Amino acid sequence: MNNEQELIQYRRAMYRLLSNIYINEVDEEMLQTLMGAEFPEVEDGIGWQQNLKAGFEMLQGVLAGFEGKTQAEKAEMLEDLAADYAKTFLAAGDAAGKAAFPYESVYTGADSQFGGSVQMQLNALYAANGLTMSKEMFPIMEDHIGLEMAFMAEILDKHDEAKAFFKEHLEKWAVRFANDIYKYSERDFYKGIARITIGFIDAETEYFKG
Amino acid sequence: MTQLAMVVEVDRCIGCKGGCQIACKTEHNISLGRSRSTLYTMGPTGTFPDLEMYYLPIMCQQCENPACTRVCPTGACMKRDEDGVIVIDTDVCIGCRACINACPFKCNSFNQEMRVSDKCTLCIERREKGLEPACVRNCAGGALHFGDIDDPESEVSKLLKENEGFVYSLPDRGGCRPSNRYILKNAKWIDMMPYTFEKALREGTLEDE
Amino acid sequence: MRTEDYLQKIKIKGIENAGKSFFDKCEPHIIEVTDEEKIVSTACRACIANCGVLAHVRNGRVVSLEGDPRDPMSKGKMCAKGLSGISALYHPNRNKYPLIRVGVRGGGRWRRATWDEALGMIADKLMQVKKDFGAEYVFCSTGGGGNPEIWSIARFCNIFGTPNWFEPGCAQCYLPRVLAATMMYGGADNSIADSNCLEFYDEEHNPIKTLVLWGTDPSFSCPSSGGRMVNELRAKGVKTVVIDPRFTPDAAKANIWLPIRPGTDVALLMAWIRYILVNKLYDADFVLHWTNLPYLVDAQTKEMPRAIDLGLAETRTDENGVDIFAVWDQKAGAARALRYPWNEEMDAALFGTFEINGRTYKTGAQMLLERCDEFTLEKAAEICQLDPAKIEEAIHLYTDNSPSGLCLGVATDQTPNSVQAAMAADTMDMLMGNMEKPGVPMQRFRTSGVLKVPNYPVPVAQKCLSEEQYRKRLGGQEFKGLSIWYAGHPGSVLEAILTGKPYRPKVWIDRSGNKLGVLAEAGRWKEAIDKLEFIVHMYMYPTSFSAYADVLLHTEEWLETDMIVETCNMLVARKQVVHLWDTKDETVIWSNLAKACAERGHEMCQKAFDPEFMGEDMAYWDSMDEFFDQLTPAVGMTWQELKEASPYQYMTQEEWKTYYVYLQQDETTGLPKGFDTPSHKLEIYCERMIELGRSGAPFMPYKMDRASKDYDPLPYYLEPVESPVRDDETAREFPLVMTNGRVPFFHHGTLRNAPRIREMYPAPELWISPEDARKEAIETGGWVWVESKRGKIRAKALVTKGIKPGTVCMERFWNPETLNTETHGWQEMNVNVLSKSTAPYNDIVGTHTLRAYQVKVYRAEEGPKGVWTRPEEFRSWLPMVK
Repeated sequence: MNNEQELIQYRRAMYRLLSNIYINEVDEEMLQTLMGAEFPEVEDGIGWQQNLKAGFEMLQGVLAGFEGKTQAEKAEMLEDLAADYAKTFLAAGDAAGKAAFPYESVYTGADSQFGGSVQMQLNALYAANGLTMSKEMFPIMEDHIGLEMAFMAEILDKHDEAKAFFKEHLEKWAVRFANDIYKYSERDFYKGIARITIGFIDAETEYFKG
Repeated sequence: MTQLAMVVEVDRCIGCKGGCQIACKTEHNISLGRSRSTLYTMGPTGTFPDLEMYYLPIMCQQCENPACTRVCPTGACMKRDEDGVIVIDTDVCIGCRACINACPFKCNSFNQEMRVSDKCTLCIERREKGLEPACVRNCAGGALHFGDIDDPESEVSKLLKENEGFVYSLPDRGGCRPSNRYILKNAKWIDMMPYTFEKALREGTLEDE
Repeated sequence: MRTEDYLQKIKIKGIENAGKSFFDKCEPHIIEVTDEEKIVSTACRACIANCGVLAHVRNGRVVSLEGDPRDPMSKGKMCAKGLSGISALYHPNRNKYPLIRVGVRGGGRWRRATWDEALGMIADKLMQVKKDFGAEYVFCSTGGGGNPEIWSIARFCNIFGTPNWFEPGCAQCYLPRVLAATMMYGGADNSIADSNCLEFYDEEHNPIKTLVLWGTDPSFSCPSSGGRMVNELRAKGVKTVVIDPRFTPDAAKANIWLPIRPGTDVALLMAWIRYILVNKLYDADFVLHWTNLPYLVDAQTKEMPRAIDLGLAETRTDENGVDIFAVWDQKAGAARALRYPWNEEMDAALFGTFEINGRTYKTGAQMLLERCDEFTLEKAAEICQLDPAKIEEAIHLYTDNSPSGLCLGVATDQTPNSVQAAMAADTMDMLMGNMEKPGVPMQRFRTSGVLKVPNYPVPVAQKCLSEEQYRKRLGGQEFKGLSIWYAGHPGSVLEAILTGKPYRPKVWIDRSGNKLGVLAEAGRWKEAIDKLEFIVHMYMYPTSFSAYADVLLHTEEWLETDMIVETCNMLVARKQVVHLWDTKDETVIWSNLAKACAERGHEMCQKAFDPEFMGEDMAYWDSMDEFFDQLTPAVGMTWQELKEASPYQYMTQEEWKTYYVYLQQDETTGLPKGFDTPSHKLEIYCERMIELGRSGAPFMPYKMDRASKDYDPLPYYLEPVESPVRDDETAREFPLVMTNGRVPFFHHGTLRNAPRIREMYPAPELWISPEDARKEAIETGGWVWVESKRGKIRAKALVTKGIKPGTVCMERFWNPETLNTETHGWQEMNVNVLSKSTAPYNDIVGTHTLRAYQVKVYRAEEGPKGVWTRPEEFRSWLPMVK
């Protein structure tokens, strides 16, 4: 495999990972995977590089905390993380109703309104690509960041289409969304994911310029 | 001349704030903190238990000689010939707020997000589709009517004729000649600016006290 | 950027196949996306008026709402509450998935769960409690706000096996009026806000001359249906009389306003009755022939002897099974048997006291007159703090104009004198002959036959609850009137939890908004909550109650629900316009919960899914479509067909409006049908109240032991236990009378989180007269403390002449913005911190005290911490705004 193909492979892996983290709470299986993962060594740099580095470090710090814990302790820690997920992305427990709602329409729709034409257009785009949302998950809308990222993972091989989709959608809002995670999350895990997301999206933006 | 105006059967207003507040605000996506219309509570006045009270929905009076158009430095605020309605061209408006200072009826407000003035246009967008203004459509009491008061055959003109002797308009010290009309039969019309009245009522400084 | 460079930095090893892909493959196909706007006709449920709605939908999003002109009651109008439907639908705070508590109760931390996990957790707990203690240790509650299907709870409880469920409504809202009308008449009650008085909605042709609005303010409670209708009647010249401590829009537009002291309505009602009787203003012919007032009553036992008891007949009943009563025939100078319907040969006395065989008998009318006799105009004026001349004027406006009608609102349902007020109010129109004729409120019009139980469609399956379990109902023996709605008594549940006697329930499942905002004496309920093991809250968004819950189940907003609404001669289908998240209609949630219990071995829950066993009570369903398909055949359609045809006229106006039902001939007997009571007469002397109290008949399925005291067949006046006229410590320390009243922006506990509503009414207004305000230097807009024996809260003062001196008024309120602080939003401005949950209760239905108790009001230095009052503060509640 040449570098180009490898790059696609690992970009796909990143989209898929982030998509899962955003759509589902971390369960035991995902935890195992993360704990067994090898994160790249990234030197200090600027821009997206620095964000990736910081994000990986935060994540690794959190994962290290799981080492040596019993099943029961791990379960409790995962439950705590799940509570942060609900607060950060669903506004659960937030009286003001503020959260990092993971929907493009909230960030780019007219009057930042949920649903509407963005959702419809994505539904049509997925359908045109022979894809429908799986029924085996919590119901979400088509413009969920996790789905947009999952879609990127699906079409990454087709460079022009991936570029068009990225520019039309993720580029317009994903970084703002990830920044909002900082406002609402109280756990390093999701903050780490947020930084990784910012770094990755910025990297992809630059990648698609070339 | 065409002069569209709001004609209000004040006796019918039950103060529900459905049409004139919620419907108007959602129709035009008006931000929190301001409104194109205000519902004033005119009372209770009198001596308990012989009291009087009515509600007064006030929106742009579509004046014949509007103060707002006179003071507007850019011409953004202008009165249309085709319907007599005063509109603000938000592309031209520079947000100086002279019109807000000038309006004696306090019918306009400042849109903070767009930095322009805003006021009732009798729902131009809806009228273009042949619909009536949102407040008129949704007024539960059936108090709000709108139409051409310069056309003697219009519904509103007929309504005004039927109720001759009970038709009022807001006090007009500045010669603006407001077009909106208020029909009130079952209570005594309070000839004060509604906001002045509400303030006096709140502070206990009304003359009849 | 260089490929190798980028690769190095994102090469995470070991995650390639982590998680899922979230897409299924399908045939690639084109879906057209247009900006086309669809219009869906549905019905509102921002309150109980259910006004017809046209919802505009674009790209799967509801973009605007307007009333449906075809709705016969709202005629195309909506109010502020309904028009806020979009705001409610897309509220950022909505519960989006089931939530399970993480960490301590009240900590505000939740994790998302699947329906299966959440329902499984609940079912596990229910089965464990049932096994270790008994099903009765689980209790449920519902409420009128937030898209309820009230009988779903009664049904689930019957099937699960607990006799304990209640509503803060019921005895405190509408049930007293339903009970009185059912017992005395057998037809529709005279409530406007509960969508009766349907005769009025043909405003143009309605011949009514005077309408008495007693303790009701349709302009505020149902602006687009009842409020609109009353407005139209006034506009065409109908006179109105308003009895209300508040100068509401209806009071302002009335010919006469009687600003009554809260809690004294029955005294005034009895004064009206007395005046009508003494001055012979009643319809004598009608009263004689069609009420049971001429029938003799044993003055001592208060029961009506049957003719057979006086040796005047051979049998108790006639050949048609109708009891034969006795009257005093003035011609014969003796008692005579009276066979239904009448005997023109006799000259029955309407009034009189008679000795028969050494016992004293009075006619029903005599009993009524004597009961009301102390309530002269002057006496009533003194008690109610009114001008006797004005009372007289009001009575004449009602009696001198025919037809007239009296509509009673919820105000009198909210004190322990509740049922008596309803009885007295109904008595009025019955005496005047304002029954079943054109123009009057109380009618027995035909119905579609789709709804087999009142107001809501789900069959309650009473047969599923065993007799043993039934008898364990807390408060069931004492407050038998509640059984007309199969319901339990909140006060008894509260006492049981707090004292442990007769047993201490452990699990509370609530399907409603904010119990801490609407039940009386919230502080005691909080104490009770602390003693419960497990709490489930089913609602659209978190409220104060949710703060104490263990599981939150997310229900649908009205734009997502399905319901059949019967309005006049039409059926309106409320249909799901859009659907968000995986919310479910509560009607389905209860079914799913029953299934989870069935899967864990609960026998009756298993049977509840068997159509043969359930029969007419219907087997449980998996969807609203499945449920409604079982009801709509009554009008010869499937649910889908009804949805498409809606609004659907099931009968023409002419067929539907059946006047004078009592005069219609019964086919089998050849006699007039009379009224739907055992005697076929209007039972103004409601003898059956005695039997109800002694055994539970006619509503309870089993013969119960007696209540502690016989229920009274006639109204009586009960001075509020906390009252300014009692010369006691309470009255001295707390000199003002508190009452409540509706505002047009909220329905019960709902919409406190709707930003455009809240900016219009950010804090509850405490209406106070200028005289009372002056004593404490209170000004409009200033914060005040409002304190009762049970606690204190704050409100914003509204100094107004529109409330009688000595009385203050405040509507219910809670603060969603402080939900996650230590107050959980129910302690700042919640009038029900002040109200009274303890006895005395109404004897028949157990009403506690929500209005008419004593408070004091004084200046507050500042408002409560953290509450929002400025418009911009509500920004984050705008529909899913960043």
